[in-house]
Amino acid sequence: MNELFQDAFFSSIAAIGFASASNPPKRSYIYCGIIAAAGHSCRYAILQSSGTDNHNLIIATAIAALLIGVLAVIAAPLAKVPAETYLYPSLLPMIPGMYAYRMFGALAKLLSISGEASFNHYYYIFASQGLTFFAILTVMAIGSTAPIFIFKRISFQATRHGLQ
Amino acid sequence: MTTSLTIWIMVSSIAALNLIAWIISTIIKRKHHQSTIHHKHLIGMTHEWEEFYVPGDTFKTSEYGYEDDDFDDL
Amino acid sequence: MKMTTSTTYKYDCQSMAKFLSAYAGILFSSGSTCIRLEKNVTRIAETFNMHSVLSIFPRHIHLTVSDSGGEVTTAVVNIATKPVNFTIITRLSSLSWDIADHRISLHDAEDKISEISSRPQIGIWSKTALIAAANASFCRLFQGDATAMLTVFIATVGGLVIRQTLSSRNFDFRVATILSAFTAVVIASADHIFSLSTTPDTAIATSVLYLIPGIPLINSFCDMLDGRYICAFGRLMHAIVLTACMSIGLYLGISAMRISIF
Repeated sequence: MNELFQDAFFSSIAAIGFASASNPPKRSYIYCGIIAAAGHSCRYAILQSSGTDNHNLIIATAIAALLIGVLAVIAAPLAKVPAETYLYPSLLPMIPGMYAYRMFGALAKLLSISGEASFNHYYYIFASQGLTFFAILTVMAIGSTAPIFIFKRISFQATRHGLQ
Repeated sequence: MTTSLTIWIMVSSIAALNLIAWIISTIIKRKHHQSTIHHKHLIGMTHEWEEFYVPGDTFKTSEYGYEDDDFDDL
Repeated sequence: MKMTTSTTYKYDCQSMAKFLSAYAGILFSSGSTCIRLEKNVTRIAETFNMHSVLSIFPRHIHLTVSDSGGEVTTAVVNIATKPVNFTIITRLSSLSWDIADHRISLHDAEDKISEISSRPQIGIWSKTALIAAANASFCRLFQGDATAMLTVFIATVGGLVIRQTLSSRNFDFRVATILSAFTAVVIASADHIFSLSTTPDTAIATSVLYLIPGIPLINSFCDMLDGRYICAFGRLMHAIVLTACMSIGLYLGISAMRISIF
């Protein structure tokens, strides 16, 4: 439970911090933090119960992204900002950055080594990390933006009578 | 000293110097901004003047005033 | 005494195209998705009984406005390279609704656009501190200890300072990203050199994560779902290039420091 709370707390700080880089309206910071905490702790809870294999990671990320998308669509009309304002910063803690640079690192190694065994080893790293990276990104994007397209009316009318 | 430590010291020094330069430029900009704010004085000599027109005033458009004629029947 | 009468503004195709192209350029360069851009522009045009068609490319927008009288005007606008700004997106979206609900005239909306796009942003110091705190939180999420978090915080500040300095001197953003990642990795390798932390590898691996272009990546998938493949690919390529530059900086850093983390 303590670990779940820590996961929620630090993911909310990460979301708020990265949200500041994209200049959101001031009152959206707290919503970014709450939504990121909910999504990331949901993913953590699923991974704790099912294991951290790649396919479990993909499924857990999809469910967490769907939760973040729904919460963002619900919160958007409350503060009169587009859903993307909460959505993107909340997803940032889940973006698989380490898979990305392992993929590029393995690609660089492929170009510099010789021998079939070494080549096969680094090609395995490149392919597995790369596929996992794109798969996680795809399910994250689909899961989070699906609620925006399903609830189009709410999403695209959120800024009506809003900030000026 | 090892190569790694040398590189670490060099890179950290460059980053620290940049940070100090940032801080100094921010302080200078703030001081310059404060000095360019015009403070209002209660009493002062000015070059301002105001001109307003009261109904009935005539406009002096030429030295001899011929263009002021409103009479078309002459 | 001469009386002046108030003038009423007539919106023809040309003035509408000029307004909409300026609006679209600022909205898209601030990081809006294609679907939001198209909906907002169409909403404004339909308020004045005009029809608009948009061709959205990564660096340009072609906008055609036509009215019921048969007049057609096409405008092309460049997309400026600017950081994502959700405040501008929010206010411009709200402005489009105000125009549609007749709460503001188009003439006043033109002045409003200039005011919205020139609003002051969050201070650079606050932004730096928040991003560094976020990256330190990332380190904790990847099971880093407190010392590693502090190292990552300092390394992120160092990397951001270098990136800001290079950007202000108009360095290419790719070179700035490589050097920023290199700086962050070298500073974070203090945990290895001075044996400060029990998780030095985590500190190094997470010290560059602030450079991941998360928003262009997610935006590209959002455009792909909407069928805007050209823009989606453009944004995806931009994100891949930035990720590759970050990886180059990371690997240059760990090679220079003779560290192996994978």
